[in-house]
Amino acid sequence: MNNRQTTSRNVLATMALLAPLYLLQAPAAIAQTAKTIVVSGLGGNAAYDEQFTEFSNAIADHARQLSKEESDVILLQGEQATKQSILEAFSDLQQHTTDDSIRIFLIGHGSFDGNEYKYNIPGPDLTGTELIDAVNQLPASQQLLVLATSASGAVLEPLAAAHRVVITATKNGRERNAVKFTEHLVTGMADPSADLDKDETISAQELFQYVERAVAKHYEGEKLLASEHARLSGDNAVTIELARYGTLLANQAEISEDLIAERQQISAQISSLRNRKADLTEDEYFDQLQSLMLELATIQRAIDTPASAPDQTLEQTTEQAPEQTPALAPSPPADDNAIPAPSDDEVTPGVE
Amino acid sequence: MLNNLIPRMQLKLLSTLKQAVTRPVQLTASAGLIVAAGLCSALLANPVGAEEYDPDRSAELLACDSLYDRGNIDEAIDCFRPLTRNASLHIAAEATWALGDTRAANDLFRRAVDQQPRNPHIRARWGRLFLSTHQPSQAAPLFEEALQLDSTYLHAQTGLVAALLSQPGGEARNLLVQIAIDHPDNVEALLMLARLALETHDTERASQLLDQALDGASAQNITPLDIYALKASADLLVTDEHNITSENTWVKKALEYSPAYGDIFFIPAHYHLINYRYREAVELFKQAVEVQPTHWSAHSQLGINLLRLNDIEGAKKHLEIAYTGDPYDTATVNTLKLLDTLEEFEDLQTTADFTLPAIPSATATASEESTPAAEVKSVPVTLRLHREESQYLAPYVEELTRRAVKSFSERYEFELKEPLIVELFPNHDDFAVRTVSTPGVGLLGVTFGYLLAMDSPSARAAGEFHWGSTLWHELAHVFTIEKADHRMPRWFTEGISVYEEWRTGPLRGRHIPTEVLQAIREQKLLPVADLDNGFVRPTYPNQVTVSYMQAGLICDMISTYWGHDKLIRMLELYKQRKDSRETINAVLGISPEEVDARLQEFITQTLGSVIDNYDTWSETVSGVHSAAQASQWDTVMALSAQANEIYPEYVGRGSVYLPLHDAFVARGKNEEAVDTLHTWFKYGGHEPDHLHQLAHRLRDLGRSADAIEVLEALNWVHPNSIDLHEKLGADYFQAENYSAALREFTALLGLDPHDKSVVYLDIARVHQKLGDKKLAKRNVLQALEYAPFFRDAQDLLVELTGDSL
Repeated sequence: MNNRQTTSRNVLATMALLAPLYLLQAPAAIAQTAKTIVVSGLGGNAAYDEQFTEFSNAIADHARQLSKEESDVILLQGEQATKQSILEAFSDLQQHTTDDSIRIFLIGHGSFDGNEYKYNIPGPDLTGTELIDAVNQLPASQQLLVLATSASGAVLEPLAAAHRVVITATKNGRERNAVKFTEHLVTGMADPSADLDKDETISAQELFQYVERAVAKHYEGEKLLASEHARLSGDNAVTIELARYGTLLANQAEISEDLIAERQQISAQISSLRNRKADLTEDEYFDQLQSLMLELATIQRAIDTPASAPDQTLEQTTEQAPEQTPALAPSPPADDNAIPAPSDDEVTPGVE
Repeated sequence: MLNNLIPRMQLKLLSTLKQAVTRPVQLTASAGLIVAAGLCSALLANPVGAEEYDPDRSAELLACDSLYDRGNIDEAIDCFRPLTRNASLHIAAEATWALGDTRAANDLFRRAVDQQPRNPHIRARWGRLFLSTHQPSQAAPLFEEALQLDSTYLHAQTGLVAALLSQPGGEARNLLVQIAIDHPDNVEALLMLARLALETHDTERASQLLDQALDGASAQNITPLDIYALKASADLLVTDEHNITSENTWVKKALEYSPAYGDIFFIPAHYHLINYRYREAVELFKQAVEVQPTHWSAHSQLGINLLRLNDIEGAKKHLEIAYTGDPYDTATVNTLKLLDTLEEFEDLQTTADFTLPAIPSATATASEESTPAAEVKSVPVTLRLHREESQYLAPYVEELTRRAVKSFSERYEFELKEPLIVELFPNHDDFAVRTVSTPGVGLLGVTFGYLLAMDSPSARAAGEFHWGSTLWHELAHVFTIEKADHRMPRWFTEGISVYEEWRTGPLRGRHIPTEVLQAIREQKLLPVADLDNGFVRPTYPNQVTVSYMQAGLICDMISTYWGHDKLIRMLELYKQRKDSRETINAVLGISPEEVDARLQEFITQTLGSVIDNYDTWSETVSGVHSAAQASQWDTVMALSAQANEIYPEYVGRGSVYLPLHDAFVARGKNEEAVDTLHTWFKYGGHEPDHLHQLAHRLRDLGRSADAIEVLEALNWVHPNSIDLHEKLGADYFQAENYSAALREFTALLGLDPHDKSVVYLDIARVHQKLGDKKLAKRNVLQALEYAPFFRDAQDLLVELTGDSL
C-alpha cells in the first residue's frame, strides 16, 4: 500500500466520522492531504503582477501546510504560467485515482466575450472550454476549483459537477472589473475569524462565507456599487480543508490518535442530538447538549495540552487564554499521522 | 353626481359580485396600472362623472339619468341599454359607461373623437371617464385639448379643475376662483368651492356657497343630491354629536330623493378623514355600503380605514369586494397588495408604563397627604415589524415608545385608552400605501389615532432621516389627537409634535432647514388662522416643511411665553369644538393676529441673528465649502468661525462643521478636529459616517463615556450597523452597564453577523454578570451549537456548570 493511498483512505474515514456533525458546520479534518495547483496569471501592470504573485504564494503556502510532500503543491507564476504548463499540470493529475482530492486556484484577470471565458496568462489565454475539458478529465472524487478572476462566473455553471466544488469571484461573465475577491480570500485563509466552528481549520465553505461578506463590506464601505458577487456551487465545501491554525497545527505531531477519535465520537453524538432537536423539549435538548459539550471540552483541553506540557488547572488556562482565537501559527512539516477508520458502530452513536 | 366614482349601473352585478368575492383575489405584478394615479383620497369629494353638470347632454341620456337619480335602477338600465348601440358614438360611450363597461366606453370615446375631432364636448366627457377611473393625470390633457378647441367651454374648465385638484399646487384653485367669478351660477364650480371651504373648516362660507348652489340647481333643473351631501358634510363639521346619522335633514332629503344614494354618507366621511377621525369615517362608509352595496369606492375606503383601525380581516373583506367591482381603483389594489406584504411582518407584544400627574382631590387641604399617590399604569403596545429586521429594531422601538408614553402621559395629562400599535416599514412604498394608498409620497410617518406607521431606518439611505425623531413625533400625535378627540386643526397637532421633537425627543434642539430660514426672511409664513392651508394646499415648494416648522415655533413660543400647560388647555378646548380663534382667545387672551405678531418677536429672539444676517451667513457657508474643495484650509477655518458666529447651531445639510473638521485634520490638529466633530454632534449633527468616525477617535483619546454617547446616538439614526452594536455592546460591557450591553448584543444577533457564536458568548457573559446563570448557560450552549470547538465558550460553560476538567 503506498503512502498516498493510505492517506486518502484515512481522510475519507475521518470525513465519514465527521459528516453527521457537520451537516451545518465545517469539519475538523486531521491530516487531510491534497494535490494543489496554484496559477498566477497576467497582471497587465507591475502592481497587479506583484499582487497576484503575492496572493498565489500565500495560497501555495497554506496548501503546503496541509500537504505531505513538496510535490503535492504546484505553483505556476509569471512566464511559467502558460497554457501548456497549466494543461500539463492538469494532465499529471489525471494519473491519480478517484480517492484523491485536488484543489485548483486560478488567480488573475479573466474576460468574457459573451461566448467564451478566457483566463489571461502569458501567450494564448486559457479558454473556458479548455479549462472545462481538462477538469472533466480528472478522476479525483473531491475537487475544488477557485477561479479568482474577473468574469469567472461565466464558467460557474458549465464547471458544476456532483463531486466538485466551484467558487468564482463573480456571479457571471458580465462582472468584468478586477476583483477584490482574491485579496480577501488570502486574508481569510489566515484569519481565525473565518473559522466559524472554531475547530482550527478553515474549510472551503467557511472561506467562501468570509470572502463573500468581506467583499460586500468593502464595496459598502467605499460607497460603491458592488461589481463582483462571488458564487459557490457544489455540496461538499464544508468537507474541504484549506487552512489550519492554532493548537491543531502547532501540536499536530503530538496529538494522540485516541483523543482525536474520542473527539470525533462526541462530535457525532452532538450532531445526532441536533438532528433530534425538534423532537425534544428545549430543556431536554439543552441539558443533553450541555453534557456532551462538557465532554467535548474535556477532550479538547487534553488535545490542546501537549503530552510534554505540565498539567494546567482551569484557572491557569482561563487566565492565560487569549481573548480571541489564536492567530495563525507557523506550520511544522506534516507527518503521516493516519487515523484508523472506526467501526460502523462508532459512526452513528446515539445519546440516551 | 359629485362623487360618482363608480359605474352607476352595477347594482345588477351584485349577485355576480357575491360569487366573486368568495374567491381569493389574486394580485400579481400584472395588475400594473395601480401606480399610475395620484392621491385617490383627494378624489373622494371631487366631481368626476358629473353628467348632471354636462351642458350638452343629449335628451336620451338625460331621461335615463333621471330614472337613475330617483333610484329606479331597473328602469334606468333598460333605458341605457339600447343607447349603447346609438349611432352617435359619444352617446353609446356614455350609455356603456353608465352600465359599467369603462373599457368599452373608452374605445367608443376614442372612436367618437376620431369621428368628430373638433368637438370639445366629447373630449371633455372622455376626460370625465378617466377621472371616474382614478386617472386624473390622463384626464387633464383631454380637458386641455377641449379647451384648445374652445377656451370658453365650461364643462372642460371645471373638469380640468377637478383633475388638477387631486394634484399638489395652487393652479387649480386659481382657475376655480376665476370660473366662479366668470360664471357665478355654475353649480359645479360652487360645489367645488364649497368643498374647499369645508376642508379649511370655513363652514360659514361653505353654507353660503351651497345655498347659492341649491338656488342654481333648482333654476337649472339639476339634481341636488351632491349639494345635499355637502350640506350634510357642513353639519358634520359643526355638530356636537360625534357623527351625522340618517336623522340628519340633508341625509333624509337625499335618501327620499334617491334611496340608494351612498354618497350621502361617503362624501361627508371625507371630512372625518382629513381630520383624522377614522372611526367616525368608518361608521359613514358602513352606512354608504349599506344603502348602496355597489359603491365600490365606499367599500374601498371602508377597507382602507378599517386597516387604519387595525381591523385587518374587516379591511380585507371590503377591499376584496371593492376590487371585484372596480379593479381600476389604485387605492384598492395597492392596499390589497399591502395586506399580502403585512404577512411578512410579526407582532411583538409589550407594555408601556406611565403615571399621570397626581391631581389633588377637591376636598384636600394643602398638606402633602391630601394628594393621592400617583398610580403606575400600563398600556399594551404592539410592535409590528418586518421579520427580517424585528430582532435588531425591536429593542429600540420598544425603548423609545416606552419613554414617549411615560413622557407624553405626564406632559399632556392623558391616559391612552386603547392599545398602541407601532408599524415600521422597510419598504417606503409599502409605508406610502399604508398612508395614502399609493406609492411615491415623501412622508416619513403617519398616525391614525392609536396606530402609527412609519418608514423603518432601512427604508432610506443611511442618515437620510433621524428615525428616532420621527417615531417621537408620531407618538406625540397619538396623545394630542386622542386628547383632543381628533378635533384640533392640523397645524396644532403638527406643531406640538415638532415642539416635542425639539424639547424632549431623542434629537433635541431646533433643527430648522435653510429653506425655512429663507421663507421666514422672505416673510412667507402664513397667519396662524390660515396655517392649515400650508399643509393641505401648499402654494410654493417646501411650504409644507415651512408650515411644520412654523407650527413648531408657535407651540414652542406658547410654551415659552405662556407655559406648557396652555398647550394642554388648548387641546381641551379644541376637543370642545372651539375653533382656533376661540381657543387662542380663551387660553392665551389674545387674538390669532396677535399670535402672529408675537411669533415674529419670538423668531427674532430665538433665530434673529441668522434671519437678520441670512445672506452673509449663506455666502460664508458657500465660501467654506468652496475653500474646502480647493484644500484652502486656513480659509475654511477663518470662514467657519465667521459662519458660526452667526448661527453655530446649524448642523443640517452644508453645515460648516464637517469641512472645518477636515481642515483641522489636514493641519494635523487632531484634538481640534475631534472637538469640532463633537460640537457638531452636541448641536444635533447625526450623519452616520461622521458619528462612527467621532466615536472611534474619542475612544482612541480615552474618552470612552463620550464615545458611548455618540454610538448610542447612532442607534436613532442608523441602527442597522453590525459595527455599531459590536462596539457599543463591548463598551457598555466594559463600563459595566450590562443591560445596555445585552440590548446591543441582542440587536447584533438580529443583523445576522458573520460569527454568531461570538455574539452568543457575549450575551452569555452579560447574563452571567447580571446573575442569571440559566440564561448564561443557555446562551453559551447556543454559542457552542454554532462552534462546538470554541475554547472560550467551553471555558465559560465549565465555569458556569462548576465542572472541572
